[in-house]
Amino acid sequence: MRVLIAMAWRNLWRHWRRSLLTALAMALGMALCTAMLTMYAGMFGMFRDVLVERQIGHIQVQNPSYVARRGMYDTVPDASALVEQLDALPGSRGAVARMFGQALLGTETNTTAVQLVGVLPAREASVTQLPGVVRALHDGTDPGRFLASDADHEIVLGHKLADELEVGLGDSVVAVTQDAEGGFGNDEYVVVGLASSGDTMMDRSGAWLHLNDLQALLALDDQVHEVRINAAADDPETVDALIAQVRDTASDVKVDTDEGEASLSVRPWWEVNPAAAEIFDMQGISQYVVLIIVFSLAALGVINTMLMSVLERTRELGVMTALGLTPVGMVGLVLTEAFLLGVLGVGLGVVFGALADLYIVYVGINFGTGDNEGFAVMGATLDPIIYGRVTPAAVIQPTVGALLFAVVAALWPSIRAARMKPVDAMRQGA
Amino acid sequence: MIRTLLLTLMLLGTAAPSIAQETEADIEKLLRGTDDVARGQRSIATMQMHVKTKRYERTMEMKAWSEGTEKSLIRILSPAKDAGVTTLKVGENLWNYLPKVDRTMKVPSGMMSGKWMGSHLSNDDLVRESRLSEDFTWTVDERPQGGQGQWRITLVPKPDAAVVWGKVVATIGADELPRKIEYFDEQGALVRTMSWSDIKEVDGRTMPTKMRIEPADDPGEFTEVTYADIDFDADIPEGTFSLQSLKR
Repeated sequence: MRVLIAMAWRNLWRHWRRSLLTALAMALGMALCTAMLTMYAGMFGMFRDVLVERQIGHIQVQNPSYVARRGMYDTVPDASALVEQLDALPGSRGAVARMFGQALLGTETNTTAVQLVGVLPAREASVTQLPGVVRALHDGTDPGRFLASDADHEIVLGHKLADELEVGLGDSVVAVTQDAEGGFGNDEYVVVGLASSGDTMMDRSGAWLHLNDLQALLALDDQVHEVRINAAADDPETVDALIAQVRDTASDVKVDTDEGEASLSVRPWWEVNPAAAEIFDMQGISQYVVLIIVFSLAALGVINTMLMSVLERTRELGVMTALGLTPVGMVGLVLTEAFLLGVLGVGLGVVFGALADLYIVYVGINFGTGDNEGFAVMGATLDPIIYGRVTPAAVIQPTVGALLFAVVAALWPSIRAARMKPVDAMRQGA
Repeated sequence: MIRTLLLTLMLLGTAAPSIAQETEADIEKLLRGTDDVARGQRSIATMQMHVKTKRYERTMEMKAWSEGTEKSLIRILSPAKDAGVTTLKVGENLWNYLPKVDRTMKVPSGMMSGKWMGSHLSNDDLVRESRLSEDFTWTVDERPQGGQGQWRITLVPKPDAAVVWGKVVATIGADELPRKIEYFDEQGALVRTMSWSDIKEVDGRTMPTKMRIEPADDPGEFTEVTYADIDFDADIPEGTFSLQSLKR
């Protein structure tokens, strides 16, 4: 065995330029895969943070009628007690409550229809990062701040809505709507922040205010339309385990629906937004497609190198066979050469890959169009600069893949060498 | 043979209208009476509106000033939560004044189909009154005989009339006061029913003092307006129907 490896190693260096070039090709292919996996992990990781944790929430609890038609009266009653309970569940990072309402929002001169969202600012900060919607606008306008945790008659407007109403920070706006008792719900709020949520609908016609303020406006005391729970960890097992507990807790609450009294609806994010779930499923598939393409190209290089090396050594191999090297031994010799070539390639590949990862992780890749506005995917805005995230898979998959492809690619040349008749082989090239 | 039959049919055809005893002008007057049942040239009325839906039930006292069909001002007197809320209608425009925020808001066109004060009247109902006597063609299905019975008139909107209904059936008493109007959509399904009752003499005029609106697709829900007092020939100060007077 040791002899075999020594021979294989020596053979590789007989044509060191060719071997090195092949190894380099493999190394580059591998580095490319590592870099791609790192970037994918970063991109999908960020997409997940934004879309799942901020936009949808891991688990949503609603009145079943609200899921069907989003009506004002389809509420979850005694919300504060329920939120406390769900917040305390093990495996939960926290629960938030939200209320939605349609209203006319206006100033003395401009009025428009808006979607109001009532939130508990303090909870949103620790659970969903919602306050992050108030961020620097690309035109340099001061965006103000998100609602204070005890906000009283404060409002955050989508930045395009603020433009339409021609209001800025510190201005007051009036909301008018039909409340739950049929009266005119109306109140005045001070604009404290401008939001760029990336959700086009909300940026154009959405506004956030304290849950208490919206409950008062709509005359829906201690009711909410939605309770969201985020899991402590973003993996299906944790979320699944949490759902079971949430269902258990929520099943005690009975609500009025169109079909009479019923239990609350409890849905994980992949049921709330199946399209988003499909995107994450696609991540795995597209990764493997690229991996296979890159390695197939590298494998062609290995096949070429090994075939050349076998063919030009016909005479030498013939002599070795004549001296008693079995066909199995011959296959072993050629495969070992390929394996060593693979090891060389992987060694270089790890170095190149690490350099590429360093760049992707610390500098990032800018996908922006130059105005620093980020790009929107399914109503969520992603930061224009994507930073990679190094995962074990990004190192292990290309390494194992490169070695495997190198050895498999050498099978054909090795079998060809093993099948040579010693006499014919020795005569050739003589 | 065929010629005789045709002749008979033609004779029958010309003979049919002579059954009706009333003229077109009579019917038009009847319908105009219905259109203007609680309306004076310049009137001030106090009334009570009772709304019942599956979600809430509320009673409001209100005072209304109106001039013809074009201008009106309605102010909520009670309950306290809504007191002072005032609606101004001038032509096809509608404004609401909200005393809590001291703000007047014009109702945007997108909200015109919304409920007015949580009742079964829409904002559109307030501004876009179609007139039975002008926007419809009619056929008389039933008429009172010797002071007994009632009028039943089926009305179909004229082609160019801005009317949302497909058909309207009006029931009017022998006393020429309206009893019931049923509104149907273009598919012929009943949408809502308005009915009148409690006939009394108010300011020298005999009229039904209670009007009830029932939507057909929400059984059990209704809005009932009861007139407490009407001055049909009121002295309404100049400038009443202006944005300035909303805040008073």
